[in-house]
Amino acid sequence: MRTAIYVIFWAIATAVVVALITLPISLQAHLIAGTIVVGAMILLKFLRPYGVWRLIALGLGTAMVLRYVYWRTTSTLPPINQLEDFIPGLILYLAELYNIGMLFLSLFVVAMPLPRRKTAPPIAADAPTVDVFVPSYNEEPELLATTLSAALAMDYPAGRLTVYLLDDGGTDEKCNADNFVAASAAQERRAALQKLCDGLGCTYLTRERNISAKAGNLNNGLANSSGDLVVVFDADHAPARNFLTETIGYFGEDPKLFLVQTPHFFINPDPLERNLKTFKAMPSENEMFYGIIQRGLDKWNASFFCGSAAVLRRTALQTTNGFSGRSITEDAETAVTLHATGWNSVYVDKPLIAGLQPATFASFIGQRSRWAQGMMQILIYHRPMLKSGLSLPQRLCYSSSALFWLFPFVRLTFLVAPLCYLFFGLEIFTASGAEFIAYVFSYMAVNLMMQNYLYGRYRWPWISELYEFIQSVYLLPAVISVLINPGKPTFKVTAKSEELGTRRISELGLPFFIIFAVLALGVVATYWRIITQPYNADTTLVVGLWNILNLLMAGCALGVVSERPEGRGARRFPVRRRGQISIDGRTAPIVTENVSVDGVAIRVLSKDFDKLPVNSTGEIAFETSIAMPAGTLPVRVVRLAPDAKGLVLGCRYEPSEPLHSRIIADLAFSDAGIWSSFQKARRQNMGVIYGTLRFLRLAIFQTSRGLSYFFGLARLSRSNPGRRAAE
Amino acid sequence: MRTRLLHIVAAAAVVPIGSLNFGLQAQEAQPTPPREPAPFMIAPPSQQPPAARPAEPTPQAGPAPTPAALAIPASFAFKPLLPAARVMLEGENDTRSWAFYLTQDEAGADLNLDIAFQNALVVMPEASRLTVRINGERIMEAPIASSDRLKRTSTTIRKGLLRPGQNTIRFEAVQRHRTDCTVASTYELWTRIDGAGTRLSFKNPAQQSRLRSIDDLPAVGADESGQTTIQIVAPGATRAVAANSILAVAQGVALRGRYSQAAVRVSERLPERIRPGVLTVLLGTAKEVRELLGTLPSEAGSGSFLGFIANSRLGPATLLVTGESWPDIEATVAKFLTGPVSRPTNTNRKTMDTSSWHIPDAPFISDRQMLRFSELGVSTQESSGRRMRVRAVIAMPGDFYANAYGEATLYLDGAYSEEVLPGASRVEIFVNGNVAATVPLNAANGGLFQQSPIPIPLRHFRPGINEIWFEAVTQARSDLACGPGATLPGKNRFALFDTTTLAIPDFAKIGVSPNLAAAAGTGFPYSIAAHVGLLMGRQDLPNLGAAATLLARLAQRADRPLPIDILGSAATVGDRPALIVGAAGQLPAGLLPRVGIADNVRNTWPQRADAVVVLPETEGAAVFDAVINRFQGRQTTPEDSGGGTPTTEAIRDRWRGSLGGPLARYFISFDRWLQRTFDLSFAQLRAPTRAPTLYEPAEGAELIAAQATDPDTRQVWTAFVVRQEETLEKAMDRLVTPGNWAGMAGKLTAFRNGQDNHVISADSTTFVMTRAFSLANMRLVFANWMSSNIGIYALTLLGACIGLGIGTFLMLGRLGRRS
Repeated sequence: MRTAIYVIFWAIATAVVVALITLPISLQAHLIAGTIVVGAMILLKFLRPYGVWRLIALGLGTAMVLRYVYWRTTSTLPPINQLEDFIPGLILYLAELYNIGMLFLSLFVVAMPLPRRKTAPPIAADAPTVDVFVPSYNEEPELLATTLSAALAMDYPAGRLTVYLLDDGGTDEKCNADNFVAASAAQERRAALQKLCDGLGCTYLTRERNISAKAGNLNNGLANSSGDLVVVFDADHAPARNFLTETIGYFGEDPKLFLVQTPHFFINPDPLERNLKTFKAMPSENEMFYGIIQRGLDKWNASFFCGSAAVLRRTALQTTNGFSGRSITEDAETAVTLHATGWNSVYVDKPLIAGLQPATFASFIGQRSRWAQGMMQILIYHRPMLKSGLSLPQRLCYSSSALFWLFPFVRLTFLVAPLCYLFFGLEIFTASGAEFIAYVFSYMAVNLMMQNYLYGRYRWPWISELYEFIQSVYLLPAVISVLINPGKPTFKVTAKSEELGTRRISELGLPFFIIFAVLALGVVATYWRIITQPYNADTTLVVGLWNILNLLMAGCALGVVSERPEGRGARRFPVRRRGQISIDGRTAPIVTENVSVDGVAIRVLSKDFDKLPVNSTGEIAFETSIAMPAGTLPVRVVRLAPDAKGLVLGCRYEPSEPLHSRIIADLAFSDAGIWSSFQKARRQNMGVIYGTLRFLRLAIFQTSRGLSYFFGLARLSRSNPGRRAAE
Repeated sequence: MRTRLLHIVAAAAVVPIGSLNFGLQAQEAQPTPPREPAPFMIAPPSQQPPAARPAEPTPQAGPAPTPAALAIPASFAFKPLLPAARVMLEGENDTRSWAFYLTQDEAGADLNLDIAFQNALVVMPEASRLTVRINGERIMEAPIASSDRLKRTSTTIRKGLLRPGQNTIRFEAVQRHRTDCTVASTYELWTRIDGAGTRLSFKNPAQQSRLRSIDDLPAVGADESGQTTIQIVAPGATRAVAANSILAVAQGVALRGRYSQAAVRVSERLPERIRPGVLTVLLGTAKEVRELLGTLPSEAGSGSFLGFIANSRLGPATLLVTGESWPDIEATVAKFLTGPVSRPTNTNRKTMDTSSWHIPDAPFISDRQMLRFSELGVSTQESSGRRMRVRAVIAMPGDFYANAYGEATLYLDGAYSEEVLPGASRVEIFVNGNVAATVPLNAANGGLFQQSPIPIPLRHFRPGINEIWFEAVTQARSDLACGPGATLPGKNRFALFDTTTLAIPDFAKIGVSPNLAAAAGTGFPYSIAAHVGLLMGRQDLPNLGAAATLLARLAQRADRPLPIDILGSAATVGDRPALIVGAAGQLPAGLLPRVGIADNVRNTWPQRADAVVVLPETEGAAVFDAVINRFQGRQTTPEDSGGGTPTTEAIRDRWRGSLGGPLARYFISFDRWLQRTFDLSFAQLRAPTRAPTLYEPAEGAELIAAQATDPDTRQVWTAFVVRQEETLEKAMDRLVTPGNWAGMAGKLTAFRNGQDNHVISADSTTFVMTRAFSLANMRLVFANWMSSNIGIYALTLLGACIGLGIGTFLMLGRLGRRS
C-alpha cells in the first residue's frame, strides 16, 4: 500500500517536472533557471551528497538534461531540405540521444545501489558439495598451479570440495591434430597438467573436441561432475581462502538462487593504467562496474555472471542444459536465460579472487572486442527489452549492459562532428552563440556532475571517455561486423600474462596517430577560419573548443598505445609471516615484508646475510595459514636492500613441484582483506574541477610522451643503464 | 566595419516602446521643410498641361460652376489622397500603397493626379525614380530631383481607370546615393510625398457630386493631414437622451468609413465653413432638424431617416439622421448604420482593416497560421541595392499572450549573389521597429535559402497591428572602393521570393489586464463586452466629442461598434468594463485612484505652469510615419542625427558604466554582456514591488491613459485624462493618430509634449479567460507567465526536482531489493 502511494507520488512529481521542462519558456528563463538548478547541484555536492540529497541532486540534473533534450529536439536540427547538413546533423543528434538514453538507463540502475552485504549467511551443517572448475586453454602450468593451489586451499568442510582443471588445450582433437608440432605440444601439455593435478590433488578433465569454446568446456565439466554447486575460476583467477565461506551461504537462503557473483580484482595494471602510470592512484576501470553497477543490478535482481569468480547452482544450470554457448559471452547469456526463467542472483561486493588482466594494448582490445561482440549477440538473439520472463527492471538492466557497447558509434561521431564544420563548413547544429552557452554548457556541466554523483569514487572525470575513445577505433568494425552477421564472431582466449620487455608503440597504435594528426589539422583549420572569417568567430571558437577536447583525448590515447616496458610487474601486497631462510647451509629467521605471485620481499633478522651475492639461491619455510604438508620454497635472491632496521632481500620464487605452488598460493592469496584495502586507498572522489585539471595535465604529458615515442626519441633514453637495472 | 558596429549598437539601444511622439518632434531627425501654405487654397482647375504647370499654383478664380442643385465650394476641387500629412519613401527601394474611395460621380469625372514631393539632397537624380500607380496602372514616373523645393507634377488619369468604391494608389521609389556606397548612407535617402499637394483634382469641380448611399461613407476621404472630421450637428446634444445616438453614430460612421484618423466634433449649430475631409452629420428629431435648417429636407419625408442629403450650405457630404423621437432615432441608427457591421463577439475576424494606409489588409491571426509573403502583399523581388526592405503587416488578437516565450519562424526563400561580402552582410527582421532576428550572409560564394527557418521571437509583438520589416543588408567589394558610378544599380545582390512564409505557432491566448496595448490594438476587453460603461468628466459638447473620437477609434480597432451605457457616476458602473474620458479637473474625487492616478492630480495638474508648447494642428498626423521615423532615428548614427537628445536610458547607462569601484564595474560589464547576449539583466530577477504607487504626472504630460482592474467588480477600467479642459478635444484627436495610439502600453501611458511617452508597465496583472478552457492553451499561458516571472519558474522547477528526488528516494526504498 505504502509502495503504491510512493509510486503515485513519484509519478506525479515526474509529471510535474516533465510539464515544467517542456514548457516552451524563453532562453532567458532557461538561463536563469538553469543557473539556479546547477548552483543548487553544486551546493548539494558540497554539503551532503548522500542518501536523499544525492537523489535530489540527480533529480535536478535530470531536469537540466531533459531541458537540453527538449531544446535540442525542437530547435537545433538543421532544416531537412539541406541534406548535407541534415544527415550529419541527425546522426549527431541520434548519438547524443543515445548518450542521454544511456545516462537514464544507468540512472535507473545505480540510483540507489544495494549497499555491501555486511556478513555472509552461515553455511548449513550439511554443506552442499562444490565443484570448482578452472577452464584452461593455453595457460602455462605454473599459472595453473597457483590457481589450482589457491582453489584447493579454500576453507570448506573436508570432502565436499572438488577442484577440476578443465583443459581445452589438451583435447583429443588437439592431440591428434594434423600439424605434428601442435599435436605433440598438446600431448605434452596434457601429460604435464595431468601430473600437476595428481600432485596437487585435483582432477584433470579434457574432452574429445573443442566445440562451443569455454561454454562447451564448462559443460563437459558439468557432465563429468556431480556437486550441488559449481564454482568457476578463470585460469589466472586465484581465489582467497574465504571465497566459499563468503558465498555459499546464500544458496541456503534462497532455493531459487542460481548465481553468487564476486568482483574481479586485478593485481596487474591494464595497458592504460600501466602506460599512464595511474594504477596506484586511480580506481581501475572495472571498479566502476564491480564497485557500483553490479550493486545497482543486484538491487533489481539482475547482477549477472561474469565468467569467473562466481558460484552457480547445478540444478539451475541443468534447466538450460548447462552454460549457453550461442554467443561468445557465455556468462551473461547464461545469466539472462536463467533470470528469464525465474532464477535469482546475488552479488557479493568483496574482492575474493585476484586475477590478471591483459597487459598489452592489443590483447586488451582483443578482450574488449569479444565482450562487445558477445553483448551485441545477446542484444540480437535475446532482445533483453522484450524477453519474456524478465521483470521490467531486469529488462532495463540487461538493455543497459548490452546497449552500452554501442558506444563506438557515438564516440566516433563526436570525434568527427566538429571536423564537419572546421573542414567543410557544414552547419549541423543550428544554434546561436547565446543559446549554445545557455544550453550546451549547462548540459555539459550537469552531465559531468551527474557522472560524478553516480560514480565519483569509482571513476575520475573524463576517464570513461578516454577508455571509450581508445576502444572505439577497433570496436567499431567489430560491432558492425556482428550487427551484419551475428553468428560470425568466435571465441578467442585473451592472453594475460604477457611480458613487455622494451618500449614500443603498440601494433594497433597507428590509427591513433593518424587521428591525432587529423584533429591537429582541425586546430589549424580553426585558426584559419578565425583569421579568414572573423564574422564567424564565435561559432568557430565553440566548435574549435570541442575539437581541442577531442584532441586532448586523442593525445592521451597516444600515451596509452606507447607501451612502457614492465616486467611481470604483479602488484605486491603487504603480508606478514614469520619463517626462516636457509642459504648455503646458513639459516636465519625472517619476516615477510610484501608478497606477490612472482616473488617475496623478506626481512632477514640476522647480520650474517649482509654480503650475500645477488642471484644466490636458497629455500624459505613459512608458517602456513592452513594445514598442508610442511615444505620449503626455493627462491632466487634478485636484490639486496639494506636499510636502518636490517636487510631486506628481494626474492623470486623458483617453484618446481606442486607443493611449492601451494605454498605460494597460501602466501599470496590467503587474505582477501589486503585487496579490499588496496582498492579502498584508490577510491576517493576528487571532484569535477580537480579531476578535469588533472586530466588536462595527464593529456598534455601523455601527448608529448606518445609523440616522442613516435618520433623515435625513446631510443635515445633506452640506453640509460640505471633503468635497465631497475627492470 | 565601424559603421556597421555603430548601427548594431544603436539598434540595441532602442527602447521597445514609448518612443513614439506625442507632438511635433516627429520629423526632427530630418531637415524640416518650410511649412506649407494654408491647406485651404483656392486652386484652379488645371487648364495648363501638367508639364507647363508652375511650381507654385497661383490662386485664380475658376470658371463659374455650372448651376447645379448644389453649389460646391472651390475647395472641393481637390480630393487629398494621403493618409497623413506626409508619407516618406526611404532607402534605396521603398513602396507604399493604400486605398482611397470614390463615389460613382467622382469615378466618372475628369481627373488629374497631382503629386508634390521633395527629396534628400544626396539622392542622385539620374538613378532615382518615383513611380505612381493607380489600380496597378503606371500613371506617373519622374526622376527624383527636387531637393531644394517641393516638386509638383500633375497627370491626367485615363478615363475608366478609376472605379467607384475602392481604388489603390501605390508609390514606388528607387533612390541611389550620389556619392556614398556604404549601407549607412542608404538611411540618408528619402523622398517625402506631401499631403497638401498630392491629390486628385477635378478638371470640372461641378462634375463631382454628393454622396448617395451609406456605402459611400469611405469616399468622404480625408483632409491634407489625413484626418477625417466627423462633425455631428445635434441641436439637442446636451440632453442626456441624445448622447447614446451621438456615440453610436460616431462609431458607425468611423467603422464604415474606414478612415485612418477620425476626429469627432459635436456641436449644436451648423458649421461655419466646410472643407474636404469633413463629414457633417445632422442628428436630431424631425422637429430639431426643421428648426436648424428651417425646413426638413425632402429626402427625410415624414418619419425616420438615415441618409445623405443634398444641401448647398452643408456641402456634398451631409448625413442626416432623424426620427420622430430619440428612441426612434436610436432604432434607426442601429438598423441602418451600426447593425450591419455589428460582428458577434464570439467570432474572429479574418483580417484587420488597414486599407487606409497599407494594403492588403493585415491578416488577423487567432491561431497557428502560415502566411506566405505573397498573401502579405510582398512580391518576388530582386535588389541591386545595399539595403532591401519589405514590409508586412499582421494583426494579433487582443488576448495575445506570448511575448515572453513565443517564437515565430520565417521560412526564407531567397538567394544572394557571390558579390555579397561575407561578414558585412546580413538579413534582419524587425518587429515594430525592434530587431528580432539577424541572419548573417556568410557564404563566400553566395547562397540560396530554401525554406530556411529564421526564428523570430514574439517579444515585440503586441495585440492589434504589427509591422514586420524584412531587411537584407548586402555589401559588395565594389562598395568598399566606391568608384565613380558605383552607387548606380548594378547586378542584383539579393532575391526574395514570395514563397517565403511566416509561420506563427499556436500561441498562448488569455486576456491580461491592465494592458493598454490590448485596448489600443483591438479594443480589448471592450471589444468583447456586452455593455461598456462610459463616464465623462462632464456632459458637455467637448466631452462628448472627445468620447466619440475615442470610441470611434476603439470601434475601428475592435471592428464592431461598442454598446455604450453612459453613466452618471462611478457607483453605477456595475458589472461592465468602463471607459473614463475627461479633463483632470472635471473628474469626481476618488475616481482617479481606482485607475492608479493620484487623486490630487485633479487639482495640481491643470494648474501646473508647464512650458507652453504650441502644437500645430496638422503635425500630429505626421506621426502616421512614426514607426518608420523611429526606425530611422535608431538607425541614424550619432553624427548623423545632429546631436539629438540622447534618451534617458542611454544617459543612465553611461553614468552607470563610469561609476563604482573596479569590482562594481566588472559586475556592470557582466550585466551588460548578459544584456547584449541574452537580453537579460539582473533587474529581471528583482521581485516585483507589490506596493501600489499612485501616478503623479511628470513634467510635460498632457494626457494620461491609465488602466486598472477594479477590485470590487473585477472589471477593467480605462481612463483617458487630459490636463486641461480647453485642450480636451485636441488632445484626444492627437491620441487617436496611429503613431500615438500605437504607443499605448502597460498600465499607464503618459503622453508628453516633445518627449517620449512615459509607459509604466503593470506590476501585477489579472487574467481574463477569453476562450474555452483548453489544456494546450493553458500550458502556453504558463510558459509565457513563467518566462516573465523567471524567478518563480526557477523556484518551481527546483521544488519539483526536490519532490522528484524525494519521491525517487521513497520509491526506491520500497522497490527492488532492500538493504
